[in-house]
Amino acid sequence: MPSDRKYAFFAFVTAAVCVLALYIHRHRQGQTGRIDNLLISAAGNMQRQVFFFSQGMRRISDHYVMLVGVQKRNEDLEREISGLKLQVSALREVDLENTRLRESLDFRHRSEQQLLSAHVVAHDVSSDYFGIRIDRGSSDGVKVGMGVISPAGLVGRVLRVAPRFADVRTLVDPNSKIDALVQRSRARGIVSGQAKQATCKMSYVDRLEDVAVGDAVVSSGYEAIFPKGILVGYAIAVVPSSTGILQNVMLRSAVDITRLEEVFVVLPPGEPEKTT
Amino acid sequence: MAVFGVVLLRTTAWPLAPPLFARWDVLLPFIVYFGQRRSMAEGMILALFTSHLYSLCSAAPIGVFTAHYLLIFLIARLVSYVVFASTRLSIFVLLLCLSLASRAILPAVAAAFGHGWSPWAPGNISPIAVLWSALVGYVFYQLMGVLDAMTRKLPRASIELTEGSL
Repeated sequence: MPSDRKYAFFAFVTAAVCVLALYIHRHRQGQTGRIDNLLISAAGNMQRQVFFFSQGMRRISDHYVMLVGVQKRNEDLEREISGLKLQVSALREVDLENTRLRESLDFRHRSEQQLLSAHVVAHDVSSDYFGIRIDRGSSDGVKVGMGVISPAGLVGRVLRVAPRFADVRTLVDPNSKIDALVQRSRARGIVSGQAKQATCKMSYVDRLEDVAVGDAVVSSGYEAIFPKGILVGYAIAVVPSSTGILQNVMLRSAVDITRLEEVFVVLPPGEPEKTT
Repeated sequence: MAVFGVVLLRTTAWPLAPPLFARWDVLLPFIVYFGQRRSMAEGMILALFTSHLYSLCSAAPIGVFTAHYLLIFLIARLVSYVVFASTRLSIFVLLLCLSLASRAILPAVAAAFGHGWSPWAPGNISPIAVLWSALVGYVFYQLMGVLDAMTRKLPRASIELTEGSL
C-alpha cells in the first residue's frame, strides 16, 4: 500500500472509531433519535405485516397439517381437566377463606396494576440475544424500563421506545436482570438470561436457602416493575458454588419466547389503560 | 435495501425455523461483500449504516454489533489485499473463515460491553451452524454480485487493483 493510501486507511479507521464512540454514547439508556425512530417505524410496519402472515401460515400448518396424535392428546387433556376442576374447587374455598380473613384483619386489597395489551411483531435478528418488538410505543404511554408480561408468565422489560413500536429485552437475554423469589421457600435472587441458551440463571441465592428442582420462581414485585407473583420459570438444576456462601439455580422460562404473540405492558399506577 | 429485506425475513418468518437453521448471521455476507468489493469509504459507510439497522432490530446494547461488524469489515478489507475472492471456492472459503472468526470475535466485543461469554460456551461455535451461515452467506454474496451487475456497479477490483496499488 502506498503511504497516502495507508494514511487514508488509518484516517478512516480513526474516524470510524470516533463515530462509534459518539454513537454508543448517544444511545445509552435506550435513547433513540429521529433516524432511529424512522428506521424502527419503517421496519416495524413491515415486520408487523410479514409476522402476522408467517404466524397465519404456522397456524394453518399446526391446525390442519400436523393432526397426528390429536385424538390421544385430547383424551389426555380431558383427564387433566378433570383433575384441575377438583383443584379449582378446592382453591375457590381457599380464596373465600382468604377474603374473609383479609376482611376480618382489615387488610388493604392489593391494587391491580394496569396493563396495556400489545402484539409481538418481530423477534431478535441475532441468535445471540433474545428480544422482541411490540406494536405499542411512546404514543401509547410505553416507557423504557416498563415490565412486560404474558398470560404464561414474565416476558421482560422495555429496552427502547419509538413512537409506535417498542423493543423488549426478554428475561432469557444475557443482559436481563430481574428480582425474583422461589415461591415455596421465598428464597430471593436475581434472574438473568444465559448467552446462547434459552434458559435463565437465578444468582445470589443464599446457600442455606431451600431450593429444589421443580420449584416455581416468581417475580418479587420489587420497584413495582412487575406485579408480585408473576411466574418466571421452574428450577431445572440447583448448582451450589464450590466456594462461598451462594448457590445458582438454573431455570426453564415459563414463557416460550419464540412462540409469543400477545403480551401486556405493565403500566405504573396512575397510567391510563388502553386496550386493543 | 437488500439488507433491509433480509433483516425483515430473519426477524419475522425465520424464528419459526428449526433452531439450528435459525442461527444464521444475516449481515455477515453483506459486510464481507462491502469489504471485498466496495471502496473503503463507501464500504465503511454501508457497514455502519447496516450494522446500525441490525442493532435496532436486536436486544443487544447499541454498539455491540456496530463494533463487531466494523471489525469484520476491516478484516474482510485487509484480506482483500491478499485474497480477492472472485471464484466460487474462494468466496465460500472466505465466508466460512469469517463466519468462524465472527463467532470468536462477538463474545470478545460483547465482553467489552460488560456481558461477554466464553467463545467455548455451549452453542457458540457449532460447526453445522457455521457451515449453514457460510452456505446462506454464499448465496447472498453471489446475489449481491448479480445486483451489482444489473445496476452496472463497477467492482472495486477494476478501480483499485489496476492502479498497481495492491
